[in-house]
Amino acid sequence: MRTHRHIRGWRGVGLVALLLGLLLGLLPVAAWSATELKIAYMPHPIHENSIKWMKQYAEKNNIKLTPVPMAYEVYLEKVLANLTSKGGQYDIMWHNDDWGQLWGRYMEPTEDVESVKKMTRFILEPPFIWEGKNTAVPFVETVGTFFYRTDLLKENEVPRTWDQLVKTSQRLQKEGKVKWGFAGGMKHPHGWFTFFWSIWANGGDLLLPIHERRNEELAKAGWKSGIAQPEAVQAVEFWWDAIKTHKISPPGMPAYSRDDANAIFMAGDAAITMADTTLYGKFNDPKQSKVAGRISVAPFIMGPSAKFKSIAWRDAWAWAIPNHIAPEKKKVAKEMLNWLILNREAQVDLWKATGGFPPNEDVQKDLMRDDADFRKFRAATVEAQVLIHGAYYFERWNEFFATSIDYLVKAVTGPREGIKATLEEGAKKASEVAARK
Amino acid sequence: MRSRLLGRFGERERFMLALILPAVVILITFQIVPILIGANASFRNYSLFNPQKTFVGFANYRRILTDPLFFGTVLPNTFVFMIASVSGGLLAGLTLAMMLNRRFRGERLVRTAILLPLMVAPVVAAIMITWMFNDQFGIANVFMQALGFEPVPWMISRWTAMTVVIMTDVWLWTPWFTILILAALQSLPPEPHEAARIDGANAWQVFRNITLPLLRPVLMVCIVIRTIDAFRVFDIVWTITKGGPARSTEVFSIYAYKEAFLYLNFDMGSAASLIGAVIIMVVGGVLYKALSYMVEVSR
Repeated sequence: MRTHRHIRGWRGVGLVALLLGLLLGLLPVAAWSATELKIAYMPHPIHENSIKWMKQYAEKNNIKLTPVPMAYEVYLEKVLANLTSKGGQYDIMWHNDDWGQLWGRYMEPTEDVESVKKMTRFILEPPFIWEGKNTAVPFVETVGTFFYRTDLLKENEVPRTWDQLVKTSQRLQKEGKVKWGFAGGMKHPHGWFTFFWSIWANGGDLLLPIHERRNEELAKAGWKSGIAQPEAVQAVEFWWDAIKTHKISPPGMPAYSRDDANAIFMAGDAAITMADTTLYGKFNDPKQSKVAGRISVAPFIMGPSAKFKSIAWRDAWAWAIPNHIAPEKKKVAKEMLNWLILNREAQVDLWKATGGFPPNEDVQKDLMRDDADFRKFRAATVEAQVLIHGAYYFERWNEFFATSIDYLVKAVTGPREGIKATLEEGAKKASEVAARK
Repeated sequence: MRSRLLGRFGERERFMLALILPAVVILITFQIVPILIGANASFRNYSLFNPQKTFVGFANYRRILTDPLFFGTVLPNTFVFMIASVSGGLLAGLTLAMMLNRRFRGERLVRTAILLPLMVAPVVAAIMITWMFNDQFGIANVFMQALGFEPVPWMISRWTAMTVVIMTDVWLWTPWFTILILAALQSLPPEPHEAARIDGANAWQVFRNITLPLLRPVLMVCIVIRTIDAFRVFDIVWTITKGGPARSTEVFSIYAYKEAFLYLNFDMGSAASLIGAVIIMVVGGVLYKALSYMVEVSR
């Protein structure tokens, strides 16, 4: 009797176990039915904002979204390894404008993503056009601007020239209001925030002819580096003096990344910094920044040799889809990215939360009408007299960029009288790199 | 054919071959084949944006061997790092081991505390050090100022940046030296030391003439292992300086990495790696000979 009951008991346990097993077995099946999209991104406010909205779309459309964060310093290498090996690690990847020509051959054309037609052609060409076809879906415009402390400077006191930058900084330092007048990233790959803007604002450029970005024209000119031209030499001398003579910038600045400089600005130790508008949200976040609520933006601080009134760069960060992934994944990814750009709420949130310009021009028009801050940001940046791209779009750009920065850093950390010679050596080397096949 | 080949081996040998086969397959797949692919790339014009992969003979090797940066900065930095880091770690490790080779209160606690750096991942340690030597927020400059010195921008000159890197490596590796040397010290026979003391030798004479010669084989093993390891250092240099400022702290592995993965010249990166392999084989060979000699002498 006892044995029978015992056996029945075990049968019951077996049945429950069987049911549980079936249930557990079905769970993964249910999960498989959702399309998984793995996204390679850099932990940065604009990426995070974009992914936040993608998650909303994913939830409603049975997509499993797996964001894979990577540091900027290793991003290129890791994504490159995936693209060249046709690995399955990522289905959507952050695509910086200056990698456009490098990765073009590995990217899925996005001509059929309707929302791209809402964007200015300037941010797409030449960066993302490969063999005549667009290969990216920009999710934010990246434009550099000067951030200043409104508690230290009134709008009419913000420096417009290098000379004014020195004098204003020294005044604030003398009054004990701030430790440094200006802090910005200098080392590779952060040269935009000191060397590049100053060379551009002084009428120079990294390659000649100035402001040219078409490879055919640059090749015709012999891939001639511009870092030993008088405008660039003057810019480096300005930094040398700013650090060593006027002491308006930290002595360690030649080794600074943008993060180092941002930390100084957010700690309240610098009056002015140069950064992408996309960092506005971070600078204004009281949890991260001591200067939250006390910052505004201003146009490029112009050098003495510029022949124009103002200049700015206008580029985009994009999402892109590797061309080796499965067609059904490509389709789902394109639909999601299209939704992201056409979603007015998401586009406005991108601007409000981060300071990044939404690439959808219709939304920009609305913001121009309704948002005073946006009007100010646009006036300080993309409405400049001269608009350029902040990078170049040839295959050896990365090596050329690193080589140029290395020599600029070498010049600014060496003796002042050696600046010209160092830059001439650097220009020769950089030209060789750019011209190399 | 198959049976004739296998017939050459006895059952015992066949069993042994079967045991090592998985390891051989893994070694060939993940070590030998990639090295051969790399070697092939080093003889070609091999970059991401050049699908042709044209054979160029020794051109890549020529370019590296005639690169002033390679001989003027990279190799000297590599050897300076290697010598300073190994000798610094060895000296600190030896000193600590001598101090710990006796009974005292809190001995276990001290021994455990000394092991702490070994438990920290090098990259984590390097990030910590980077912040400690940050010119604006770092503790190092707080000390400098407390002592009445000007704050130092550590990372903008070659030698201050290099010093920070070497100090980090010494800090990380000193416990390793300490453990090995302490173990060796505790296994030394007591008789020679006792005899020397009876003969009136002071502590330094005992250390110089008895302890050190007896430790020589262990010290040499430590030096050989660490030297080869220091030659291929990457993580802490990359995290702290990335080879900067202006490539002035670049060591051999950073040079090869930048060529391959930053400049995307896979051909140059492979050639640089193979040149490095040859150099370290020569250095390793010399050290191995020295080790054999030392062991022989100490017998």
